[in-house]
Amino acid sequence: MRTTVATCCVFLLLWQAAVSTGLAPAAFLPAPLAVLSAAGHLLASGIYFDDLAASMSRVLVAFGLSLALALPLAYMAGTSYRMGGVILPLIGFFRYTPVAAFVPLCILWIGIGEPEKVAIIFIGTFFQLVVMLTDAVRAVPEEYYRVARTLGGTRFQVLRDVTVPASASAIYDSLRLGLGWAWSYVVLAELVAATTGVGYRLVEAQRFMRTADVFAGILLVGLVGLLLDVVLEYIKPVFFPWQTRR
Amino acid sequence: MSALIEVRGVLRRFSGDLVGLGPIDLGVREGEFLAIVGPSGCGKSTLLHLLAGLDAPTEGEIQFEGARLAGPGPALGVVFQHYTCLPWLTARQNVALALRWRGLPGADCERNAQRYIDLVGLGPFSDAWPATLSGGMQQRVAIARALANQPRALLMDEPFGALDAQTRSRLQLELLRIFAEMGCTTVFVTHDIDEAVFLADRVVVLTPRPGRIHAEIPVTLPRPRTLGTRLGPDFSTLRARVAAALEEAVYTMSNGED
Repeated sequence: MRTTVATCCVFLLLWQAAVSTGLAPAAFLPAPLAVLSAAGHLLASGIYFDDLAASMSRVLVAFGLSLALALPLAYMAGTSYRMGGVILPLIGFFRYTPVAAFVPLCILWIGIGEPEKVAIIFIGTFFQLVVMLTDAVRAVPEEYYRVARTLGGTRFQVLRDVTVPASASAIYDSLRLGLGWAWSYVVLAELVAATTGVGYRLVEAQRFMRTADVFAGILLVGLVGLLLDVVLEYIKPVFFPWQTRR
Repeated sequence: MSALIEVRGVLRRFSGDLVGLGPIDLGVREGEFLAIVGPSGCGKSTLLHLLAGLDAPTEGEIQFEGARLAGPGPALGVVFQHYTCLPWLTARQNVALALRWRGLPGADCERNAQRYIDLVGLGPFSDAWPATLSGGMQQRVAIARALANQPRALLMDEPFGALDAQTRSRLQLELLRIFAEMGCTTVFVTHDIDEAVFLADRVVVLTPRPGRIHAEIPVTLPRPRTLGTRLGPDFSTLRARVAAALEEAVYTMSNGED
């Protein structure tokens, strides 16, 4: 903890020094305090909360859609190797294709409105989710299935009462990661042809050469992402009370 | 008297034509406590998995209640060596799960489960998560869970193998008490000769791989058995006989291979 604080302080001091000595022109590198005050203004103006709301709703819609489709596929691929063979190869190809490569196609196909933003986030998260959730389902220990068979569960009962709860914790962790990606892809989506959102706010600041606002925008996007992750980790025990806390 | 479980010429071959077990002929009688001992790797766990219907023999067949054993089910309760409580269910919910699966109404499930939790002496811990229970307590839950289905036979695969000596001894006494109370046919796999003699009506000694039956030794010690039983001369004699049979099985085998 102490070293973390020390590292941050040294970093900020070097930054401030670079600006104060004129080593870096303020138009390109604003001072830390200038960034902080720009962030303050952004928040105080209230516009930023509209942006946050716009971005967050895109993330939630796209991520919800992605999860709703990925979950059943993952349960199929995770519980049957044959289904895995059908589902995973295609997913694997898209998974390794950068999301940015799909932006032009999305615009071509569905224009520059809300659906396009949602589509980009969806593409960025869906394929990754299928693979990660499948792994989570496959990681359910064989012993649980053996026990379930000796207890006489039907296929559906075992899926509902063993596979789903046994994989839920790993799936939750994957969702935490996936939401992080969704948050970064929303910024990407909003860089092109948007009129609201935290990504759009960055582009706007760049157009008017307000470098401090660009920095402030980056800072806030990072903080919101971090906050999301921390909150999801913090409230996990609410959903999984049976896990011993370490 | 016909046997409850009848093993006929069962052989289990693994990949690469490696024979892991058999051929074996063995009858498990209604109401008896049968212990299976053998050197490690002889296939005793394989045999138990076959009896449970979790694995299928390569050759031969297993008859259960006069019909070919098709697969696992609640009529054959199994307790595994590893702790197999489902961690997201409380002790009682673990026991109630199979009852719920059979379509018993919720209240009956809970009441029944509680009865078996009480039977294995876990009454105060019925709402505890498995992660907070010791290894011995988790095995008690596993026993209660198997018994709650009112199985025709209870199959136990070195259930106390991972426990410390004191806990193991306690659980052996508990198991004797439960066996006396329920009278459920039990097959108990172990590598511990003391344990086998102390618990069983009959001890089957397997050879090293491929496991075959080397000897069957009836245990004539009267029930109820107590800690004192282990101190008597009859116990020592029987234990020595089983030990000798086991040694002989290993010795004959290694000579045969030379």
